[in-house]
Parts: sequence; structure tokens; C-alpha cells
Amino acid sequence: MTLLAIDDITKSFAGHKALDHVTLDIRQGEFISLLGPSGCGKTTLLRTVAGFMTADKGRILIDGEDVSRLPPERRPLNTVFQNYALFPHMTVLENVAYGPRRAGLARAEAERRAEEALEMVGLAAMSRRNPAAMSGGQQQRVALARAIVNRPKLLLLDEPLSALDLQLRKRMQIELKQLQVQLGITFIFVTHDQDEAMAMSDRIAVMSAGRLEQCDAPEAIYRRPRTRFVAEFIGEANFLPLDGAGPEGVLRPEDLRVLPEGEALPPGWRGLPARVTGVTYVGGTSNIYLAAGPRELLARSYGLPPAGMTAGRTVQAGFDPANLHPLGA
Amino acid sequence: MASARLTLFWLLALPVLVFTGFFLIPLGVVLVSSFTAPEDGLTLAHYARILLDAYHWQVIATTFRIAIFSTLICVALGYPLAWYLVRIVQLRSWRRACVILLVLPLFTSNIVRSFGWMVLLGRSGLVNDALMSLGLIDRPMRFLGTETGILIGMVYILLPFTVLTIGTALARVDRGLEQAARDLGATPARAFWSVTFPLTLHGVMAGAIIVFSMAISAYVTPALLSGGKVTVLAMLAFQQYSTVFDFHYGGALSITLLVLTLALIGLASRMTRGRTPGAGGH
Repeated sequence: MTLLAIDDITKSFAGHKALDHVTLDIRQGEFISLLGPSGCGKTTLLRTVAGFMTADKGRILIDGEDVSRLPPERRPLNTVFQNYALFPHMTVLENVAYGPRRAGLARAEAERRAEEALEMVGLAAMSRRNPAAMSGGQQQRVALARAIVNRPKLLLLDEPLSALDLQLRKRMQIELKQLQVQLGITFIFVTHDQDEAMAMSDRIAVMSAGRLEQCDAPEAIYRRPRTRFVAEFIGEANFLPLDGAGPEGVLRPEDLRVLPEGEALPPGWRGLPARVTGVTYVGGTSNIYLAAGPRELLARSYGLPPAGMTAGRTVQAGFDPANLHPLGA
Repeated sequence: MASARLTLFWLLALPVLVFTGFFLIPLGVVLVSSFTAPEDGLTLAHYARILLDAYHWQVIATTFRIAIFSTLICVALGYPLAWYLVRIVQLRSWRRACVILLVLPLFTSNIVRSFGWMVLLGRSGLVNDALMSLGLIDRPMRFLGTETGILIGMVYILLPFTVLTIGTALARVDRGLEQAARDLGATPARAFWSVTFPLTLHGVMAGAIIVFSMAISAYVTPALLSGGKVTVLAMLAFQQYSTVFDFHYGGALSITLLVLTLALIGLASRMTRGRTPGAGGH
């Protein structure tokens, strides 16, 4: 069932198209990531859904109701802001109780709800603290509690983990995902980190230069990228002609095998002569960089690189043509 | 190490000496003279003369009324002006021009500006002419020699202080906070009163304290615009010093003004302190 329908949204800033005919349907209970490099329009799209910006063209529908003209306070959604935007003149509890208070609850009831939400993010003991006296990770949880306390249908998260260090970010990714499943709220998660998007999302919407490039499940995005941009932005990609010449397909580095010169390929495989240009070993996997004529290729395998695989050596690069995915399909 | 400490000592000692020499000693002289008389040494007679007399209380009331109204009007006008400068003006050059226009009058003398208002507020001055030609009044209003006239002059002179302090506070408020409030269901008005205003309250208070302390001790503007019909405490004190040469009674008037002012400011900041936790640290 479609919860949020983004219908042909276009938005320009001084002649520059920040959003270019974006259409996207998001289902109830889904965890969807808006992924793309900075300036791709993902934050603009999020702010348009939240109501902080008005689109030049197109509509936003939530549960079938057109909310395009509604101010942010009348839209049935909440936002976790990138810099958390916690109210510095209020305690943690007052911050979280702000939403229920605006929804018309009495102070006692609003605070009870706020305590509940803080419990959910593991901060029940800190309700009397001032947000400024908390760590980045704790502030992030307060922002999360404040956004879920009213049980919105839709939660927008604007790069909420980008200010955290790597360890904490990994932990929060798991917690966020658990919370989303537990609450059953639809999450729209803006990020520029492809690993984060892959780890958490039901679907990933990849954006570039204001356009929606592809929206699919993580494995589909990875295995069957529709455009060259998607293939290069998600993971690493080798581009090879589909059959000798003509249009190119994508081959992921782990599907490319490096074999000694003259060794027989498995039946049905294609091989091309190449020269090793570099070898790196990165804890668990090794990368072999190859040059096949003018083409640069990358092969990845588990464990240490095969013995004798040094730069300058001539080898053959082999792959199963079934793994070569044609672009645009 | 020892020489660094010595340097630090002198660096601190010099300002302290200047402060003592130029600020505390004159104040001490006034304080001492207010408690003494040429004939019988230590005395409370000057204070008794002020505090036990209805006329003096009337002057004190007028002084405080003018100062309090000046403060309220300066804050009420200063906040929207600061909002306009910080939030609405997009063009940087226009904002700079506005700030210059705002600050420029501060470079000219109070006396000149008060004379300007005497001309504007007179019977056939610009203000009355404008009001009459607009048909709002049919006879010229009397501004000179009334508290309204003094108030207009005071607000004109003191308004920049509230605009500047409130504007500074407002510029520091993260607009993302208002958006967060809206996102959580607050109307724009509610977002302002529950988030933006509390976070600028220290700027409002700073401006109010500056305006109040300048208004309560103002001499030139009330003296020129009162036409001798309204008297404030500073005018009484000035008369004692300049025409009667009674430094003891004049000193007592000054100290009375100082004590009452400090009491009121202390009360006001105590009332607002509880409401802005964390605002100062931001």
C-alpha cells in the first residue's frame, strides 16, 4: 500500500534544477534510502516532503491526501535533522515532550509519552539533562526520540548519522533498523554513504543531478544497475562490451577472476589478456588492478592475492558472461 | 615563570587602577558627601529631605514612568526592527545601510538631536502639520512640555541599543530550531514564542537594561523637551550641583536614583533568570 506518493516533483533554484521530474512511491512500513552525492537533490526532496520547501511543479500525497500546500506543522510526519536541532533552552524531557504538547496533550501526559520514547532509545536516565551537556550519539538519540514520540506515519531522517564516528555509526545503523521494524514506521533516510544505505534499506533510491536514477532493493541496485552512474556510485564496477563490441555491461570485481597466462577457462567463460598494474591486500580481501588494452579493470578475491601476482605480470582476466549485466535494463 | 606572573600582575593592575581612579573614587566622593553636612558631620538629613517629601516621590515616579515606558517601547519597536534586519533583508548591502542609518545618530550630540525634536514636535512643527493635514487632529497637539514629548525623544535616542542587542541575539538563533518546532506541530507564532523568543531573551534583557539605565539617568533630552513643565530626578540633581551648589543634597539625589535603579534591574533580571537556562551558554 502506498503511503507517500512523490508525483512528478520539479524544483529550480535560480535556473538550476535541484529536482527534475522526480516520481517515487513509498510503501507503508518501508525503509527507503535516498542516496546520492552532495548536490544531487536528496535533501531538497526531503525538505519538500517535510514542507520546508514548495515544489515548482508536482504533488506530494500522503495516504492519498495531497499535502503539497500544507505547512510543515500539518503534515503527518516528523524529521530527524542533520544537526539534531535540539532546543538548547529545554531539558531532554522538554525537548521530547514538545511534540505531544503541540498535539494538545496535557503536560503530565506529554511527559509520560516523552519518557516512553526516551526509554525506547535507551536514554530514560537522562531526561533532566541539558542537551548541550550530552555526547553527539546521545543528542542523536534525543532527536530520534523527539521525532518518534508522536508516532508519525512517516519519519524523515536527514543524514542523521553523518556526524558520528565510524564505530558508533555502525551501531546506530543496527539500532535504527531495529527501531524501524519495531515501530512499523516508514523511514525515509537521506545519506551519501552507500554502505549505510545498503545495510539498512528495503529499497534504495539513487539520485544524481536532481533526477531519480533508479529505485530498487539493495541487491537489485548492486547486481542490476540501470545506469553507469548507479553502477559506479554503488560499489565498484568494471565496464566491458557485452559481446566483443557494442554496448557495455557491468561486471562486479568479485566476478572477475585472474588466471595465469595459458590456463584453461571454465566452460562458457570469456577471457581477455591483461597486465597486472597493482595489487593491494585490505584485511580479508585482495584487489588486483589490471590493464586490458586501454581498459582498466579491478578483480577482487577473498584471502591473500595468489602467489607471484606482481605488477607487470601478464595474465588473463576471466568471467562468466552471465554475470555481465547490460546497462539500461 | 616569575616574570610572566609579574607581567600578568601589571596587566591586571593597570585597568584596576584606572577603574578605581576614574570610576569608584568619584562615586565614593558623591556617596560620602550625601551622608555629610558642612556643619554637623555625618547625617541622614539629605535622604530624609528626599524620602519624606511628596514632591520628591512625585519626581521619582515621573522619572521611573518615563524610563519604564521608554524601555517597553524600545523593546516593542526594536524587536520587529531587529527581525527585519536579521531575517527579512536578504541584500547584504541594504542591511549594512540600515545598520549605518541606525547607528549614525549615535555619533551626533544628544543636545542637537533633542533640539531637532523640539522643532519637529512644536505647535507648528512637522509632526503636528502632518497629523493635521492627514485630518487625524483638528488642533495642534501639545507635545513639548509633556511626558509624551519626552518619551518620543528618548525612544528616538535609545532605540538603536535594543535593535543592536536583539539583532545580535537573533542572528545567533539557528533557524533550524524553528523548523524543528514547526515539524513537531507548532504554528509559526507558537514556534516563535516557545523557541525563538526565549533564545533571544538575553538580548532583549541586555537592551532593556541599557535603555532603562540610560533613560532613568537622562538629563539633556528631558530638560530640553520638558519646557520646564516636567521634572525628572536627574534635572533636580543637576540643579543642586550647577545652580545651588549643594553637593550634599545633590549627591543624595544621585545616590537615591542609583539605588532605586539597581533595585529595579536586580528585580527584573531575577524574574527572567529562571526562564532562560542554557540560553547564556549558546
